[in-house]
Amino acid sequence: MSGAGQARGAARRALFALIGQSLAGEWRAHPLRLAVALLAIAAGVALGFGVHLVNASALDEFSTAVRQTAGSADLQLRGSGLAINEGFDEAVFDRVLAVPEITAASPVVEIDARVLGVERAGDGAAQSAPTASAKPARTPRLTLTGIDPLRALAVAPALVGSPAEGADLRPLDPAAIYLSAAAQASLAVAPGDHLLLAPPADGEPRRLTVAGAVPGAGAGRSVAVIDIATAQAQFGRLGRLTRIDLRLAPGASARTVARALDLPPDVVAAEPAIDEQRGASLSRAYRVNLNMLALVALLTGGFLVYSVQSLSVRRRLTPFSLLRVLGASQRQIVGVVVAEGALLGIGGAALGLAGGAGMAAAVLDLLGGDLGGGYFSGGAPTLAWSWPAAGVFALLGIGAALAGSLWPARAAARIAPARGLKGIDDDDSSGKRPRAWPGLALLAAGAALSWSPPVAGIALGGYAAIAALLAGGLWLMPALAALLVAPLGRLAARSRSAVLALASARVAHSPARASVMLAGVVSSFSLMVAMAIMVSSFRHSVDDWLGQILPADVYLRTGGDGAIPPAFEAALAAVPGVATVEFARLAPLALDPRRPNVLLIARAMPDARAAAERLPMVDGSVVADVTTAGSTRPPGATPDGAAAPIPIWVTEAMVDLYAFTPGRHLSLPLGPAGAPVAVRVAGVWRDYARQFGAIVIDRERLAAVAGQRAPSTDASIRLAPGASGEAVAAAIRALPGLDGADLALSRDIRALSLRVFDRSFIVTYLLEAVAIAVGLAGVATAFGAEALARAREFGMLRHLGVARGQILAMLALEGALLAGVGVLAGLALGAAIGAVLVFVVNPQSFHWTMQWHVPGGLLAGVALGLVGAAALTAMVAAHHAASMSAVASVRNDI
Amino acid sequence: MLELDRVTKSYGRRALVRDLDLRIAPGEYVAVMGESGIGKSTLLNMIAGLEPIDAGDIRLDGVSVPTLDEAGRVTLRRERIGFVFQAFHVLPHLTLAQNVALPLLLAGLPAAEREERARELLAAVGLGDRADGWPRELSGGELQRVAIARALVHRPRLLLADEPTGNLDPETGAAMLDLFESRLRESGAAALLVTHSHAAAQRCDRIVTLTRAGLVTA
Repeated sequence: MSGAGQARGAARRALFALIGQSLAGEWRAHPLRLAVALLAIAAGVALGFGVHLVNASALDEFSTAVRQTAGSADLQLRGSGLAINEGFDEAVFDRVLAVPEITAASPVVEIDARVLGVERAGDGAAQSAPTASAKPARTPRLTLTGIDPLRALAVAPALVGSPAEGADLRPLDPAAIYLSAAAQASLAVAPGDHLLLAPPADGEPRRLTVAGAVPGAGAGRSVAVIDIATAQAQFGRLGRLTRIDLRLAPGASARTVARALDLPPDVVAAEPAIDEQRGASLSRAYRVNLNMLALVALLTGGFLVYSVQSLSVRRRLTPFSLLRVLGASQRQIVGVVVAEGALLGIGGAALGLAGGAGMAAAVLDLLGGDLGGGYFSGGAPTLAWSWPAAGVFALLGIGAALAGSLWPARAAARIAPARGLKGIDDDDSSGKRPRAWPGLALLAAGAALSWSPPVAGIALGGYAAIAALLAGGLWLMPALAALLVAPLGRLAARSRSAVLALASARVAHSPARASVMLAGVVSSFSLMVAMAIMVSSFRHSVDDWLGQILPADVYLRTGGDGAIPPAFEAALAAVPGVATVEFARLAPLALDPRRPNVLLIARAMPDARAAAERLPMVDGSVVADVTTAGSTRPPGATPDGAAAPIPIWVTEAMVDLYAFTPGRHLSLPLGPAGAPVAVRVAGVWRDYARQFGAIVIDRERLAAVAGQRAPSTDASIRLAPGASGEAVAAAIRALPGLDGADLALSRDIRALSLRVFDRSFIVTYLLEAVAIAVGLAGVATAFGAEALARAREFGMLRHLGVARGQILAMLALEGALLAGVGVLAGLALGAAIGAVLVFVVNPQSFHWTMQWHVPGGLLAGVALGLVGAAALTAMVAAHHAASMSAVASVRNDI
Repeated sequence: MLELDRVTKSYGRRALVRDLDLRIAPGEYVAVMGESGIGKSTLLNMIAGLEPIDAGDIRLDGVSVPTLDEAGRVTLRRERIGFVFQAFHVLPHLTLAQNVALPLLLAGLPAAEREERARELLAAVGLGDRADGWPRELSGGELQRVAIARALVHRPRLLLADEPTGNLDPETGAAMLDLFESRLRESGAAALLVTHSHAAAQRCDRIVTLTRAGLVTA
């Protein structure tokens, strides 16, 4: 080995030895402080990784379901527009059989049926259906998949039922229903039992016999398979198909085949993978939102590492100076501090990954795959561990810890050894005027970024704006501390209170120290403020919206594929206590196979005035009445150009996702067999229930263009003066012909909605609590560390005649003043971040706007609590140092 | 002015000083020498009430220090004693004037008076034009001058200096002792200077050496 190589080897060995000695010493001396920093990193990693695992598990479950349903299909034909639910003409199947590139085809009919009851084998009496949920009033639903078993065997064999041993039914038996193990468990039925299912509109319940299982269905997946002929004949789908799964000849192009089929307007050809994409898009914004919050928590952990390491470096001024004097290079000193940060990161990441996996398993069990968000239905998915994701989150944790260590490492390297040995800290910034422009530039960048449009449906600009605002705010902390406390310091200098003068001078004239100590608490408190403002704004908006959207007293919904029989409409209106009833038809509408369906709401909406009265319109979105404004239509906007376009009122999501802007002329597949119908967007309304869009159209106009009046699915009932909602609801329930429909009072819907809202923010509240705890832990460790570093100062003060109680009071006041500065900064910063969440991230992610609302009482309470806790924490953390012998303090290096 | 009668101090079973007697008159400047670890600094701390004694008595202007409670000892240090340390102990977050005025602040003097006297003392130690500066801008020698000004600003009856030149080079140390002595003589306070330097000790009115057997006057 060359001389240079030997020197490098020796330097490396020396560095490792230094790192080992330094770390061992730090762990022995301050295990609690390092443990807090480690836990802060672990918390960020755990939250991020946990949220990722929960969502990945749910999506994995969803993808498995899609793959099982599609089997080996290369292409699927499915309904478009309203045909997504009602199905399309089965004559399309005949065209399929004529295309030579198609080697196998399996027609499917899907029906969302209500389970009215169960008859046990050998027992003729029907029992009302058990429910998996805790609410007994809610009728369970079952998605029936009607297949031709012989054709399905060639394309999607997983859907073919297997008769139970001894069952007196064949796979093709029209009365047979095959239930997967999960479906049997949720309905508490076994082969031989009979299910009573609601017919689509009227008539006797359909009685099907549980004939066996669906072995191909994955564990935990609820699947019910019946014969396609039964599905069509018994459930009102004669001549209709929901889907045709196709397998193509090797080398055949899906696009060519689709063209050859010359499909009618209400049928589209799509590759099955598109369903997985749609499933991912369901929860993507929600998922990204939570992951971003977890990253902010990780950022807080990074700031805490910065805080701990900065104080640790200042405390080790003399040892580092000594090492430099003894021959350690600046690079070796940097190496020691960075290695400490890296080890904190590695430890925190390992702990965080374990904690995240545990948290994900618990959340999947308790809240399901969408953390209470309501995006995925079905059972609890199993945890899907991912090594790449674990690697990414581990790197993020280590990165945050390393980033938090870099600045302190730089400070350690800059120690002037000779002066450091005498205890003179040249990095002490007392009296230096902090530079404000980089912080102001970051704030300006944050403001600019908040105007960026979303990238692929994700509010990346908004998240970047939050990071820039946070970084800018923290950068400005020293200047802010100086600005806020300097007047107090000047005032205190004129007073005779030594405690006030010393504490305020310390806070005002050590701005760098203020930013070190406050980094964790400002980032966590501003995050808490931002989240509190966002949640409060959202909740108030939802509360107002519920008041507008639920003007009636009682609501009825058939749900699934059920409908209200026409005879029942008249009976309902005649129930004593009912003043008026408005009927509506709600149906899914497929506009883009890559996106979730939108909801078409057909109800009485004759004109713009009615819309303004009945819908929570977005200010400034209403355009002139379309029936009299046909001349403003741009050329070519409607294909037929003949009839006046029908006004529609769309939700904000339709504007964002489909560019259905107010005044725009377009066509929708609402005519017979999906024929295009000219419509014009007459206004935009606010909707917090359907993130993927809804359209309101006048029911009579729709019936006129569709050529038929589809049955109602919903009814909103207003009570006569003095009538009791409960009594009317009970009378409606007693009416024959609508078993299993959901009936609820508007106040119950409102209360339930707000309960669901609060539940879906459980994770957010958890993040807030973690952030505040991390921030306070940061204050405690920072004060503890600093108090030890200041032991000589306390000793000197006691020599000069300062009592121990005065020192503790001074520390408490310092803590309160620092926390006060942090709280003010956190409030300002949190309000700015909250504005980004309310006005940028939410509209871009979830396509709804909300009114600004600040929970003043809550924030004031938390702010005061934080200042008090910081004062107490500072005093308790410093008690040991302040109680040390004054003699030993001035003599010893701590 | 300062009287130590048969003062005894032990750490565990190890007796540090035994039956120590010492008298210092007002305005007297006394050097204390002795080998390392013999208890010179402990002697200063016992006088200031920062270390309890096991037996004997210490009286400052007739007040028995060991019999004072904590509040009494705090008041004693605040009003009658000035300290100069080897490591300066100047607070980095206070200006030089504020550092010097600390004892006056603790005594509850009005701000204007504190300011005036601090600036006066800073001028006396040659730092009059730096009163609004910060400790980080000063050299070690200058920091010790600030510490001397702080020790004298409240006009103590007794100055306790523990190796005040220990962190300074010989030249700066000599200049410092010149300054210290001149300020001390001017103030009329008595002083006890703990030092290893014979040159420093030679400047004093009297030199006592602390040995295992007790104090020996040179």
